[in-house]
Amino acid sequence: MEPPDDDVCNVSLAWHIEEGSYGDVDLSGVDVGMLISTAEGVMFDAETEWDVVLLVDETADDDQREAIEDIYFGRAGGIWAPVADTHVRSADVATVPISFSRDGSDFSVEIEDVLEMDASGAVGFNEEIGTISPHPLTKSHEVQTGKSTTATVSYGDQFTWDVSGNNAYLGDFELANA
Amino acid sequence: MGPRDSFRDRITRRRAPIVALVTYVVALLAWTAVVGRWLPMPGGAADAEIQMSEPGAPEAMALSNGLTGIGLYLVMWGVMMIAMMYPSSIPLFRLYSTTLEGTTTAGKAARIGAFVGTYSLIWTATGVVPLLVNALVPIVSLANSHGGLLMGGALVLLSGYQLSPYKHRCLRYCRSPLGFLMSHHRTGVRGAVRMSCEFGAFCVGCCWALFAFMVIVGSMNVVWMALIAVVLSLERTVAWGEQLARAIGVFAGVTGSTIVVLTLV
Repeated sequence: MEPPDDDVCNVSLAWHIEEGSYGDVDLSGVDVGMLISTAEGVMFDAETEWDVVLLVDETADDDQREAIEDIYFGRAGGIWAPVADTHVRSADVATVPISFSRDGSDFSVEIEDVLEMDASGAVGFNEEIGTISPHPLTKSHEVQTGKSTTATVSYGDQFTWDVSGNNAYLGDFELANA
Repeated sequence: MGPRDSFRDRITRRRAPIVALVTYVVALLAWTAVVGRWLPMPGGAADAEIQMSEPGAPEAMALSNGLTGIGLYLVMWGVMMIAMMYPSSIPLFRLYSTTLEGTTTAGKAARIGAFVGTYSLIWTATGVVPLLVNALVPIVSLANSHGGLLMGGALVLLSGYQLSPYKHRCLRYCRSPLGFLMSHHRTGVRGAVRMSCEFGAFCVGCCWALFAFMVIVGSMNVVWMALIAVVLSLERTVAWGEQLARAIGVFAGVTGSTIVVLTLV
């Protein structure tokens, strides 16, 4: 991988859980957002540290919010565990209203005054949406390429950026541990 | 609230490095077995005129003793591979074990066992290659008649591979256990076997030329074994590992060509 612009990565991620559970806690319908701001260097270099904000849908109850924290902060195992173990320097959680909508490969996410993202699949050869593989966070280990029209974040000084008009990655996901 | 200080503690405090410790102990036992010559070889004691550390000697001995010989050779080769490869693979084994929260202790042991076991089997299976090569061209007689050319040629082959893009593609996965895990993670015991096969392929792709060289200088030569184990561990773990791989490629190329030229002149 190559170093990012200005040598730091600013990442905003959003998930809509269609169907899922953690132990006895049903997570279907819960929306989750994540902001990552990295130290200088390539994001996945072992020595690059990340500061993370987890944004949990305000409609989630306490059990659901705790489950989401356990999963995304790696305490539930799965792929987030080595990520937390290797990279995460600080982690914060905010409960916010999240609106997530998807129409085919058009995605739109709005998280109060924290985040606004609109992205659509980018069509490549054969009029098909391009893909990138292997990618860890999707079921097929493949993400679709897209482009954002809006991608702004505002959460404290460290998590404030506008990367509208850049590449975006879209896909169906499946997270599981063990 | 200081999340900056507490996050790592929260994540890591429960975890004793059991996987790493067990792996180190197994690797240490494997080294002890190799150095202490605990491993039985057919006719090893009787064949006083052949030193096991000489090029091609263990392979020739294995082939002259049929299936038992081949079996014992593969056991020896497997133990050697465990000794040499485990230490530098511990970061991946350990990271993989962190993904296994939410399963029972037995479940974790089964998955880690499947992962590490498959990895060991893949490396053990590579021992078939020196046997096949030796069946076609006996290394002992080649080393006796054309020692310089054999050594020089092996170094040139090593050089070519160390400097090739294939080496660096594989090395990149070996150097980034999290990168590998993120892009290949699968659940369950079957997932562990599958991931391990994929990792094993990159790992063999990364190191096969070093082992080919080891067979030429004598696959039971403990000094070369130790040197090569140190080299491949550094390649895979330190920040300057990729540069080291290239430097070894250049050094092997220059040395190998010099030996070939001096032998021919």
